[in-house]
Amino acid sequence: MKPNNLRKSIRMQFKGNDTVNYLSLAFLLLLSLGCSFKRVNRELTQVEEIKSNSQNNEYLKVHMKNGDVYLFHSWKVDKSNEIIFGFGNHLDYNRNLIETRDGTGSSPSEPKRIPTQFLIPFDEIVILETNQQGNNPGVAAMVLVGITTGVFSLYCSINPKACFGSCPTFYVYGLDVQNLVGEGFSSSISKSLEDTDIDLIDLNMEEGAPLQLIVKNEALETHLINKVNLLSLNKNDENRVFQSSNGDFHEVKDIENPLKATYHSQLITDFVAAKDEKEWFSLADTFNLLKKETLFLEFSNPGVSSGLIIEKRQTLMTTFLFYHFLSLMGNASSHYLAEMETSEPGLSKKVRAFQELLGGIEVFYLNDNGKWILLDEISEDGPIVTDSHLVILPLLKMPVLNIKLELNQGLWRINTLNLAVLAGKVEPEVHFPLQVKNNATNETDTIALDKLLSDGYLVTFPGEAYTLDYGINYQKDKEYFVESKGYYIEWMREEWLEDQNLQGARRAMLHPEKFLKEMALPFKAIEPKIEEIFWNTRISGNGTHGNDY
Amino acid sequence: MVHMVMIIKKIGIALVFSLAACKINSVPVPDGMEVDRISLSSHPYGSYISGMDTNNNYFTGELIGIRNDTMVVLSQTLHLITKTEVSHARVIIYKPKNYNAGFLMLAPNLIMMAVGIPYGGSAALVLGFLFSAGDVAGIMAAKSWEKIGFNYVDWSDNPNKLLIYSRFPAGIPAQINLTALQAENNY
Repeated sequence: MKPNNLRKSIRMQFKGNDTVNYLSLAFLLLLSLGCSFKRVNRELTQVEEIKSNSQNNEYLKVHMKNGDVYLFHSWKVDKSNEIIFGFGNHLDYNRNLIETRDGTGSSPSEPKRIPTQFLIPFDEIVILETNQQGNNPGVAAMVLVGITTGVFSLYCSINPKACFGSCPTFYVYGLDVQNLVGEGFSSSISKSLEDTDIDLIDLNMEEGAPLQLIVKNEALETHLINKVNLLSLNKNDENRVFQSSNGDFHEVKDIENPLKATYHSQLITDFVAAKDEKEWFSLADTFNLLKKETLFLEFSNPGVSSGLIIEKRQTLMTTFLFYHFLSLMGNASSHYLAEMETSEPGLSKKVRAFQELLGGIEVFYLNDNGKWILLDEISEDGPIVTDSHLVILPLLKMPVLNIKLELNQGLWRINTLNLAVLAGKVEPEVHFPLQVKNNATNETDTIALDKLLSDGYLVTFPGEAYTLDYGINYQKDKEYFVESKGYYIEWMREEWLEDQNLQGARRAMLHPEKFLKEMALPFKAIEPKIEEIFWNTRISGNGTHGNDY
Repeated sequence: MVHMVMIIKKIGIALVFSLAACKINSVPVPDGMEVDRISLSSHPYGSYISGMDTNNNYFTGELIGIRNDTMVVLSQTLHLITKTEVSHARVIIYKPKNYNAGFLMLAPNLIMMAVGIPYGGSAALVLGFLFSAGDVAGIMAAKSWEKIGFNYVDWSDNPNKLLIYSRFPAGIPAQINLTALQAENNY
């Protein structure tokens, strides 16, 4: 389970959200207009030459021979009878208001309001005046940016937990900015669920740049971090290294896209071909959060040992369920969580049962006898950062490798499904932090370092950040993983206490399957609200969605 | 977040390059002048004019119009200037909008930062500042473009073009007694 990831997940979406990209594009297009300001222009027209009736937001000034003026906001020209009639104001030569006719009827507070139009014969008119207001492209840019940021800001103000923070997040100094590269022990919501997490980190750095990790607590959580180590593995420049389910690291080469990837007979190859900003995901079932779905993949058989690369993360479903469960427990949450560590190990099992019910991604292959064989199950929680996995495939004779993925509907976001040739196992070199700096004080924190190197815990609170220096420099012929161990404790929110329902919590623990069915509709009710802000969803039938985020 | 930073940078750079090359063409407006581009079309008065005649007499006020080759300008006093005696004059057509109301767009960002800081500090701060930078860039773009437009006409450029911004652009009707004219309140 990955509780606070909703916030971080949403925050992450800002990095490539279509809306933001279109916004910047629109902004740049506006800017590209350069100095082309359409200037204000006043035109005087002889009454005989007037061509058109009123247009939107255009005023007509009718200057009379006696010096009066009519200001029409709408008008019509009757050329055959040589009359202009319209609604507006009649002012004298000193521009005092004589009469208003705007079609809305009279008002006691105003001198004369007649719901009929002014009729002005041509021969009383000396000249007609119109004004072009000019334009200001900058206003469009201002409004566009303002509305977009305003919507995001208001959303985050109303739902701060949905925008900010998560369990421990890892950043690396990239070329000039901090890049979010990983999240730690996402499932470890109590000490009894403490776990070690190893994540591949994609680095965008210059060769030889010092490799430092910034560990942040960006949530209303207490993080207890036992260790944060870096693993480096040698590889050929063009190859990659992935970890398989049994913990082995494999160097791979010749990475190939699927010939075909389908979901409900629809091609989704484009969404899963490469690790980019496109992801494939589906929406949850309306009546049952346990409903399964299937993806089918076809690859060219390389004829040698190969593996399936799966790069994915979770949707916000688990976050929703976790928050809801905490709110059901209300102020008894701490009691139950404490019992998990002492007299009620069964509770831990029940929490794990939820995870098992939701399940991971089951990988099947079609053997030479035409039978689907279950090969592996990938299951790592967390909707923030895309995790990478390698599933080793058996050697098969068929020219095309057929693979089937079974997964919980609406639970996963799949970025990449590729096939790669195995180039051999590699062993990681473990790098321990040599120095820890507290980012708030910018001073070396030897106590924090000591805790990360011992069996102790570096305890961090919301807003805290530490920079870990490993004394190594980035090399392109190495792959890097971050290994973290620890757990975290979610802080209760005041608003969650209002929903306390211990009977409901107990029922959920006793009958998790029923609970997950009951939660389907409430989840569906908020699913589009969360998604619509950060994803531009492409619906391609059958509820299939892909996105460029 | 990384892309967001890049986008903000791109916008900033484009803004600087785009607007740096633009000449500011608007001129300051007199105190009390409130008519802007948008309201100009429904403004029934003549535009503000200031100038000097060949005798070095200054005149300022509302441009009323022309009667018998004499330009009439009205403020607290009535100025009658023969067209041939106009040394120089400038009509200011409108007051460029300042779009300062756009700064209200920063309010949601500030609220977000205030609410979000307890939830995670840096993320709320960074996001708030990025959004605010975007908003300010938008406001500055609107302000800058507004100033690119010409809000004046000079007599030396084209007297006839200047005169169409008078209260009576077709000439002052004969039946109007000039001494009975009232100036716009602001002048």
